[in-house]
Amino acid sequence: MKFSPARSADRLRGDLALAVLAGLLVLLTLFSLTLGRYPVSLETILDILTKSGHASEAARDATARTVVLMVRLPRIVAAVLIGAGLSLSGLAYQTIFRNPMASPALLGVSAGAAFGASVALLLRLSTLLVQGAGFIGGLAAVTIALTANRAINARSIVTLVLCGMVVSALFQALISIVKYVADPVETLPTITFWLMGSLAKITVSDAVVLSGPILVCGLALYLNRWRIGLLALGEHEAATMGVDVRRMRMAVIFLATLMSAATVCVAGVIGWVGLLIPHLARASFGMEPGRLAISTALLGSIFLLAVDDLARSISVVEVPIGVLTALIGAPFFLLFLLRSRQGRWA
Amino acid sequence: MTDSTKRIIAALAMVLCLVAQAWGRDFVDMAGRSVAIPDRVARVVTLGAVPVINGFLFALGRRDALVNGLPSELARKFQYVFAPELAGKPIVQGAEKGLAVEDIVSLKPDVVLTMDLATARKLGEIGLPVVYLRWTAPEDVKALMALLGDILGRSKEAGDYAAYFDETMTRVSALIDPLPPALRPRVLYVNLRRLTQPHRIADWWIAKAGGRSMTDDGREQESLTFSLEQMLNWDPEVMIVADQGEAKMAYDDPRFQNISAVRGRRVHVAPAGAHLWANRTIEQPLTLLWAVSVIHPELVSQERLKAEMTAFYNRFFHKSLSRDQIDEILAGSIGR
Repeated sequence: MKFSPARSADRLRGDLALAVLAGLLVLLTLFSLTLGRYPVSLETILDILTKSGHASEAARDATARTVVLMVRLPRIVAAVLIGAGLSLSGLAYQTIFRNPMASPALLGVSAGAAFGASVALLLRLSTLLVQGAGFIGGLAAVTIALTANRAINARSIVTLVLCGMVVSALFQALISIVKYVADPVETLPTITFWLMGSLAKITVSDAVVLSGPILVCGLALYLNRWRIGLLALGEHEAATMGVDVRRMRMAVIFLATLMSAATVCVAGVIGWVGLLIPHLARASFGMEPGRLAISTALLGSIFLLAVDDLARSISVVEVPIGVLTALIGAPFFLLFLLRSRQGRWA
Repeated sequence: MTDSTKRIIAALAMVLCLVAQAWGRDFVDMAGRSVAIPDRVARVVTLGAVPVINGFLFALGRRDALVNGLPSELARKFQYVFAPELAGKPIVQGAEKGLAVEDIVSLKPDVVLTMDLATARKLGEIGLPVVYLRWTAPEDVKALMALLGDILGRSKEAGDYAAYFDETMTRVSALIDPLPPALRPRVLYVNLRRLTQPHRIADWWIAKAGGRSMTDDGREQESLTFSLEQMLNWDPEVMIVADQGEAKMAYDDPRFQNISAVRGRRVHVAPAGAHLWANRTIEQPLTLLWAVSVIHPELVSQERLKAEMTAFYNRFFHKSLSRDQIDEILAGSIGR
């Protein structure tokens, strides 16, 4: 390979931009830790985070420790993980289906997972079983959408989206049945509020439970980024380059669905992140798989954390985050489409 | 006038008399709607907050008139203790306030009672005699009972209840009014699962019982939702929850451990009799005495409260409760 100063400078610029993005996420995390109804100064927060409990001055204010470590930090960690998880799963779906409109919400995965999880909530099952039911629901939804698309045998990118919408409508109807039979005093409001998407009730254990599937699946997708990238070239091309197309596609669907379902089970349905962020990352960081995956995860985390900060601070009563991502994401995506040139993904 | 004409006129007069007797009077309900109701009310359907409205009938000694049962999600054990016959009655409302209109019509009610204006209007339009009952301000209950007493032929009982309500207020005021603000602790009535204060009336009884309700912000709407941080910031000294599961949650969840009420073991479950005492219920005077007993235990002892409860249920519900039953009401709901 010939040394090219221009390419090397590009690479450096790209790496620098990623570092800036990572720095931005750290700053936003610190800023988010200062937001809330309980007054805690940044100095106290840093004290709580850096010094061991009893030695520090701040530790004397046990409530401030509870607020920082048990209320704000789990929520921030969850927002970062969910943003990254939804964006990465959106990127994975878009890449393997070679479809810029693919996302967890549009393929019906979110509705499927929401149905599975709401049935588990109705039956008052444990958190782990809620996650399991959500995953099965999400997997069922994407399988139905793909099977329908294959049966129609259409090559149009719109057909897969339409199949996803049909599946989504089906699972929405099933969710309505669950809501109809739910106890209107306790279970119904719980399911309804949860479906709107919220990080308000995130606990330390929620954040821990969420981190497993997101980190493992995210890492697995990152390690296979080149093979997944080859799938984007087309089945035939990928096969000639030694990729077991069928197995790889199944594995990617499994990982992306598991990630999406995990986010739905903990925080409800949060739309638009998985669709919008991968496009933004492609437009800003290009198509190189490694950089694209990292920038997608970072942008997703920053976006969701910023929106969650808005959700918990614009009014006394929290606005569901799913409502805000839709309000911000939909017009932004429309603008993005209008400005993008035909033939390009972004 | 021929004999036959006279006979026809006499027959018509009789029919009119019978009709007048059957459709006795027009009542104006608490939304200003005019409703024709027979003089003798034998069949009453209660809709919406069924246990709350049933409680009014228990206190007026007219539980015999109830013709519908309790929806499972609203059912409380003591409704069946006070009115065992409710168990076999048809249920006419489902989830999300869905009403089985045809079932309601087939019950042939003399009067339908509801605290939901939309329901009153909807059923009124199809000709059912629906009376809307409003209980917004705490003292509305007296006007409500006066109207119901009039409709159900139990005005004396309604008057008795209003007198008891006023007399209890006076007794509690005599205990609480001398307390300086510094001796009135921060109190929070909360649904811990949803972080909501479900009923505005709690702000009233907490203040009357000598506490400072953390959610008393002069709002118009019934419920108030807040964040966990807001709750930690309030740091209530006394917390009142709706069931035993929530009390356990308060003591078990590490995020609540620094709240003064949790540290001081002052998380109390609201008693549950005909209805949850913390919400709107005919048992509100007892709520007030109970609240004093938990906020200022030195002013009202548990024994005094139990004696008052026994007397209340005897006098108004005509039900003699055992000591175990009194304790069960005070222990509150076991939760869902």
